[in-house]
Amino acid sequence: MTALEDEAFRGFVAARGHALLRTAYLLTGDQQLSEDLVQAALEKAIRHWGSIRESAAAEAYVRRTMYREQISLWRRHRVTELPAATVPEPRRADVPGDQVEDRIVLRDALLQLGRRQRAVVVLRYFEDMTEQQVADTLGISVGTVKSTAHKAIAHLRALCGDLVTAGGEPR
Amino acid sequence: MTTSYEDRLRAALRDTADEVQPIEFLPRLAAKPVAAPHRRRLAVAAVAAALAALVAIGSVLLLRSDRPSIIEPVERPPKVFRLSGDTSLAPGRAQIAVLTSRGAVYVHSVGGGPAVRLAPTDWVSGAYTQSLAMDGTRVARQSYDPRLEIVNLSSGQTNRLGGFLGYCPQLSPDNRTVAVVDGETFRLVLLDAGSGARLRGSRAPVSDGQGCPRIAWSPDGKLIVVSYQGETLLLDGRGRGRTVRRLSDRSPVNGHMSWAPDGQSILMYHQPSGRFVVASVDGEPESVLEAPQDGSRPLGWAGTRIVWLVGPPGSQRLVTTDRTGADPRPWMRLEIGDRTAETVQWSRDLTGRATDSRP
Repeated sequence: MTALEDEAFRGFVAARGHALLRTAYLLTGDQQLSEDLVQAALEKAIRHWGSIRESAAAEAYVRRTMYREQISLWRRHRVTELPAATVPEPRRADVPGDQVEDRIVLRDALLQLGRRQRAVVVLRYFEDMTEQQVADTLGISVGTVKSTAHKAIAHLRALCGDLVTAGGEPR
Repeated sequence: MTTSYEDRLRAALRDTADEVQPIEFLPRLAAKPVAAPHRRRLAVAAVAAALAALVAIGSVLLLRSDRPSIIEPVERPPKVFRLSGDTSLAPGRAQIAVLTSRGAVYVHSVGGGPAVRLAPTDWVSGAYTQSLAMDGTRVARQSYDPRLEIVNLSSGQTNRLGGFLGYCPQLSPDNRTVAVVDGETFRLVLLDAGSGARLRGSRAPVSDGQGCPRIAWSPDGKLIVVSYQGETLLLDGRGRGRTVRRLSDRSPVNGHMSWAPDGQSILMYHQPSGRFVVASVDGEPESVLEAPQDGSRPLGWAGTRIVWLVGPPGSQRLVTTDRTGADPRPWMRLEIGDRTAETVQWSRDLTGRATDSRP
C-alpha cells in the first residue's frame, strides 16, 4: 500500500493540512509559496511514511521539513515581486481599517527577519511550543532558542512597534 | 488589563495566519506534479515571457522610423504588491495598471519583471484619458494628433485611429470597439478598434469638453453607461446606441470597473449627496456604500467585492469590502514612491472569473 492509499496518511493530511498551511504562510508571507512549502514537505513525508506513520512523529517530521525547505524557497525567491496566485483576502470578519494595516505590517516585518528568527517566532508564539520543543524541531540548543527569540522580538518591535490585539486594545 | 507584547504578538500572528486560504492537498499529492505548481507556472511564464520579448524586439526592429514603439521599460518603480487571482494568466497581459495624477501609467504584467511605464500623452495627461482593456492586453488613450492610440502591451505596437480628436476612450470587452467622445460634437461615438471606422453614435452630447464623462461597458458588451451633466444613460452598445434607461444624478465610477462582473450592478457616484452607491441595472433599490475609512474612494469590483483606494499619497493601498462597504480586507499595497495613484484598473481575470477574450 502506498502512503496515499494509507488511511492514516490521508487522515493526517486532512486533519493537519490547514494548520500546516497557516504556519507556512507565516514563514513565507505568500499564499502560493506557503502551498508549495507544505506540499514539498508532504511529498517528502510520503517517501518516509513507513517510518513516521505515527501521527505525532509525522507532524514533527513535516514541520522540520518545512522549516528546512523554507531556506531553499527563501533563497530561490529572494526577489521583491513574484507572480502569485491567490488574492490575499483574509477570512476574518470585520476588521477595522487600522488593524488591517497592522496585519500587513506584521506580515512584512516577519519577512524581514532572518530565517531562524522567523522560525523561532512562529514556533514559540504561534505554535506555542516550549523552548525545548523549538530546540528539538530546529536542531539547536535551548540557549540559542532563547537568544534568537529575544533578538527577534527586539527586531519586530523596531520594525512595527507595538501591536494591537484583534480586539483593538490600545497600544 | 494590559497585555504583554508576547500576547499581542500571538494574537497578531493568529490574525495574520487567518489570511491564508485553505486548499486540498490530497488531490495535488495524488497528481504528483513533476515540479511544484508555482515553480512550473513560473517556468512556463518565463518561457512565454521570453518568447513575447523576442516578438516585441522583432516588432520594434520592423517598425518604420515614424512609428516607434512607445513601450519601454523605463524604470522599475518601487515594489508594487501584486494582486493575484486563481486563474491562469498569460504573460504579456497587464494584471494591474496604476494611473498617476501626472498622467503616467504603470502596467504590471503577469509575466513578472519590472512594471512598464507608458509616458503621459501630450494632449491631456489626466488619468481618465486612458484606460486598460478588460483583458489587460491593451491600453486605449488620447493622443496629441487627432487620433486615438490603442497600445498592444504584448507586442508594443500602437494602432492609431479615428482621424478626429477623441476624448476618454474605453475599449469594449472583446477589444473590437472603442467608445469615445468626439471632441468636436461631444457625442459618444463607437469606432471599430481595428480600422477606426465609425460604427454608430449617440444623438445627444455627452460631454462639454472640459472633462471626461464616465463611460463604462457592461461585461457582456451589450450596454454602455455614460454620464454627463447629472444625467446618466444606459445605451445599447451593439445596436444603434439607443437609450435603454436614464439614471439621474449618478455617474459610473472608474470606467469599465464600474460594472459588477455579473453585469447586474453598477458602482456609481451620486453627486447631490456625495455618496457612492451600488445601482441595480434593472431599477431595483440601490445600496449606499459606507467607506471603510475617511478619504477612501471606490474604484471597481473584484468578484463580488468592491475595491477601494485608501490612504494618503505615499502610502496608498487597495482594500476590498462587501457591497455595503463593510468587512474591509487588504488587497494590495501600492509602493509607487512619491507618485499619487489617481485611479487603478485591473484586468478582469483578477476578479477570479474565467473569461474569454479576443487574443
